Amino acid sequence: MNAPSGAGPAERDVEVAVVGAGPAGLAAALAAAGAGCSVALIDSAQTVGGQIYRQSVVGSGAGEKAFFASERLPPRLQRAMRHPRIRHLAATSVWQAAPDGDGRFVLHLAAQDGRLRPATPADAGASAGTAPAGLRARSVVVATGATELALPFPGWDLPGVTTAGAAQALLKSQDVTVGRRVIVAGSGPLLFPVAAGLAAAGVTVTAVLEANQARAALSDARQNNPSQNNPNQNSPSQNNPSQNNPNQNSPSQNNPSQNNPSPLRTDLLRTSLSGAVRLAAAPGKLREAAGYAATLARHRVPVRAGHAVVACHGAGRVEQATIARLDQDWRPVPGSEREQAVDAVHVSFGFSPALELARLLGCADTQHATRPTAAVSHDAAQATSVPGVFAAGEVTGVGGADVAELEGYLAGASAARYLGRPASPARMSRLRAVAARLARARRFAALLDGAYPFKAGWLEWPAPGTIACRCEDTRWAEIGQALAAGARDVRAVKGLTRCGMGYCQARICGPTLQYAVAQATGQPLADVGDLHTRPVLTPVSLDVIANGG
Amino acid sequence: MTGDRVRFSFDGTPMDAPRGMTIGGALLANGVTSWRLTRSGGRPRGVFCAIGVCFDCLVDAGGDGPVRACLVPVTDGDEIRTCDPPGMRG
Repeated sequence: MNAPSGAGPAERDVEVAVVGAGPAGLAAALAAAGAGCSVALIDSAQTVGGQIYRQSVVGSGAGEKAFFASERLPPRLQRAMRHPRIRHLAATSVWQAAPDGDGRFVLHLAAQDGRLRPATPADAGASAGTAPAGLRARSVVVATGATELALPFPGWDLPGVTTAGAAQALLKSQDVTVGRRVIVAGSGPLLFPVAAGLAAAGVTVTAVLEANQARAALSDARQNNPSQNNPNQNSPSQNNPSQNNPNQNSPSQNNPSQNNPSPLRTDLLRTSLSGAVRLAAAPGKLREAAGYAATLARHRVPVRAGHAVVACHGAGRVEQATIARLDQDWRPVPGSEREQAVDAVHVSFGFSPALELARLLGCADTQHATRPTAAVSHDAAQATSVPGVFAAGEVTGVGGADVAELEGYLAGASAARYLGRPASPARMSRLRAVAARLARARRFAALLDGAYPFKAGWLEWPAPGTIACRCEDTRWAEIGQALAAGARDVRAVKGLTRCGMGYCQARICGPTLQYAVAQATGQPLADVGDLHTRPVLTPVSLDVIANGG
Repeated sequence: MTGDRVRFSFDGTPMDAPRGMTIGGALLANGVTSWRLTRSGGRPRGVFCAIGVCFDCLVDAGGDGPVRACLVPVTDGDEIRTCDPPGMRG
């Protein structure tokens, strides 16, 4: 492939469009620009960094304490903002994308909600401070990240109940907290940093609840990683006495550790790290986790495995949460429920790759076997099934910031190579080093994925009247009625109930609906369909569509 | 008021917030947790995802249509109102 022909690229032509300015997108932009390509870096937020490296928009404040060193945008990625060949289009959404039949991709752009103004001087180049209506690119890097999985339970739509990521984003970028006395609940490695950040900012975190049992999660992780099965290799786990003594395990799950100044030593830290500590290749991750653990211990935040918030109550906002002990399949243990007075609950059950743009471009993806998520398929060079389209970061499978950044460098370099700008020998050698580090980072990510299995028992949390679709007010019982009426896939249920038809375009309820339909009909997740495919990626006004290039 | 803060109102009540804050952040900072009613059920909504995905936080900021409070910065003189236009109720 050659660079665009003619005297120079047209004003709105770029060689590489990178969509998403988190670690993957920033790295991809740097790699492509470093190889000589002109790059448009498009992101819906006002500042770069994505979710993990979210930056403050209100200067320094108490929220600054919420930033751990590993959550600050590294200087190596900040370089993207000063690179002469990278044009950053902030506060800009891609709402439509398609090949133009001439080897290019046309991306239709819209300013967020018709009101957002670009926030950085670099954006002043765009006419009258607004994003161009569209641009043409010879190659696209999809780095759209992931959205949080939230599961329904009675009262989960009360104001004051947010995703865990929301609590973190509000603290980091806005220096505000939703509540003063909160629970952080769900499953996965995000719970610790969110709870630690809130505690450091002065919020009383009354509990961190991980749905998986420490022991169940551990054995699942071992099953997913057969090489970890030999108990003789578990030398670091000797620091965790209860792990070597099964009899100590189940009582510890019942033990309210509220008065224990270092509950993490006994429970969750072991869940997330027992496999990881064997990975000598990830010392940075260990330091990071130890930092969160130390913060939680210092603030005496109780951490409990095998527990969840199964209901929230309140008049107009959450005032009380029902906590239940869970069995190993996440079913509430009858009689274990107890109430806790809180003014916010922050929930997270992992992440769902944001597939919409990749689907629109025709990229193939792969359904996760046990989670209601799918990830963009790609080869070792981050090439998707569509020539000229590359993918990097969480959209290819949730692996964290390190995996995302490393994939980004490869994807950007691959896009440049696709455009006839191969890497220099020195650059090639750096890319080989990146690939080697990526292999190690992916092994760590796979361990984490295995350590936090997604279980079906949450289907017992919603009551018949629980909201399933937050946009359309579809009740949980209506899904059951649609299934009883013969619906066998998510689109049929959507058509019968309006679940997934609202503003968010099923980004919140889609995964839970897919999982519920698969379980109820006894079909694999891949066979019931999903709601990631949309002709228009984000709600835009009709005049944007009428004028869009 | 210094240039570091902006003045706005919510349902007629005067409020202020640090410049640069989103409407959602500014409302939360002023103790407001919900500013929309759902289309068919009339259930209160505020911030849920805070990153522009869920559209729970749609709010009337005086423009042509509702905007996501978690994305749009609050500006001086904004008259923010609870989002309950007839067109949004089913």
